[in-house]
Amino acid sequence: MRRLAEGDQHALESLYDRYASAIMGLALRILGEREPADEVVQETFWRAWSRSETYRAERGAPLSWLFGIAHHLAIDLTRRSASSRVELVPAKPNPGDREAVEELTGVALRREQVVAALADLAPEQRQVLELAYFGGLTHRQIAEATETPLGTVHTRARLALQKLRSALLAKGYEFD
Amino acid sequence: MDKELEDLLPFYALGALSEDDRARVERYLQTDPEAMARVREYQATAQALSHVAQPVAPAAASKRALLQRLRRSSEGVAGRRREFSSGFVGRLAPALSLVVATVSLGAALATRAELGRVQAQNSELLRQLADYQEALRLVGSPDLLALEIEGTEAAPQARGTFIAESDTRSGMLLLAGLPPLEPGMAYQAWLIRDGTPYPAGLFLVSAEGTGTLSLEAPDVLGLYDTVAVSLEPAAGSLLPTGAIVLLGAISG
Repeated sequence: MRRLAEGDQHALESLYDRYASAIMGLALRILGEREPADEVVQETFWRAWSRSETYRAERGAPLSWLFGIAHHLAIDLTRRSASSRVELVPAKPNPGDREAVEELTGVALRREQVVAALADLAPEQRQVLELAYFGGLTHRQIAEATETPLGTVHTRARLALQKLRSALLAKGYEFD
Repeated sequence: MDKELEDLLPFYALGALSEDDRARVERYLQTDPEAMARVREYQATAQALSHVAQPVAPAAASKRALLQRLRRSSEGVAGRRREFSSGFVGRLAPALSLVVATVSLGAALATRAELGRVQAQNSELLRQLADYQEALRLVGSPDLLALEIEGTEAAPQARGTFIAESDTRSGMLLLAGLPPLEPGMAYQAWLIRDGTPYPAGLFLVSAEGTGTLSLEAPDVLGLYDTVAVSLEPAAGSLLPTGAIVLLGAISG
């Protein structure tokens, strides 16, 4: 990241090679289509390059920073397209693309921990997290889509995040 | 503790609030450090959800496009150091002097503990210096498009100049009087055509409220009717979400 801040173009390429697949996975999960997801990937790394001084090591690892940029971009795109707002079908990745990246970055281990922690949540708590984080729905939209009182949606979201955090810590997940 | 706003904190962390609710929560967080601490925990947990997505290789064209964009940007930086226009030098000389002096003074005063902060500040000032030099190059162009832009009610002290060659996609914003940014925020420029805003780049401001942006538009600049600057999250937005602080009509 220091080399990136100094304007080293090879550093950007290294960052891209290391994390582009993880960013693409997130963008695809949110958007459900390859073309806009590719655009989000490109824009994410462009912003990492052009605004590298906004990265703060004490606030998290580079991948978390990139995830934050990509999530924001993808949710923005989702909200511009009402039809994709409730598209929650997970993308089907090409298995051959994943192995090398996962081995190099440890993304596979973290995913395993998060998936296992999510399994500890009640289905309705998982649903609120899915609709909010990957679907880009607001609390009111979630209440409407699930025909659930708004207060119940609030409680589920709070408990879901608290329980997920406890479960992640129990499974050895290292927060940034 | 505000119960209604506390209920929104998990959704704020999940990035799932309307713009109005997000603004309300951010005002609340500025007044309650304990609520901010709770949000930080929620955010770290929410961010872990990103790992659920299985990695997928992006299209090879995506990397090529990124590197091409990078090369174009680098060529622009190289071009910034080529030409100077005597007519504009006088107007920009004080700003150039201030930047150079501030960089030198910053380096001289830096203690070990402050070194990182000063280096980051110097980096931003040097970037602004390069942008001023690019502005000097542009004023020598016969297709010069230059306009003054004014601060809105959200930032009445703000002012600036937009300089570009009307038949190209590259231009320069030189701005002053901008309010300081909260952590995690940035200013974002927009080019507007027929009511549709197109993102044109993010920038930070110096302690004195000055900022510059070398922007690149999707189409030649003469096709746009308005340039604007808004306050946005540091990652930027695809449409303006915060207050518009500067606005100017392009009459190319």
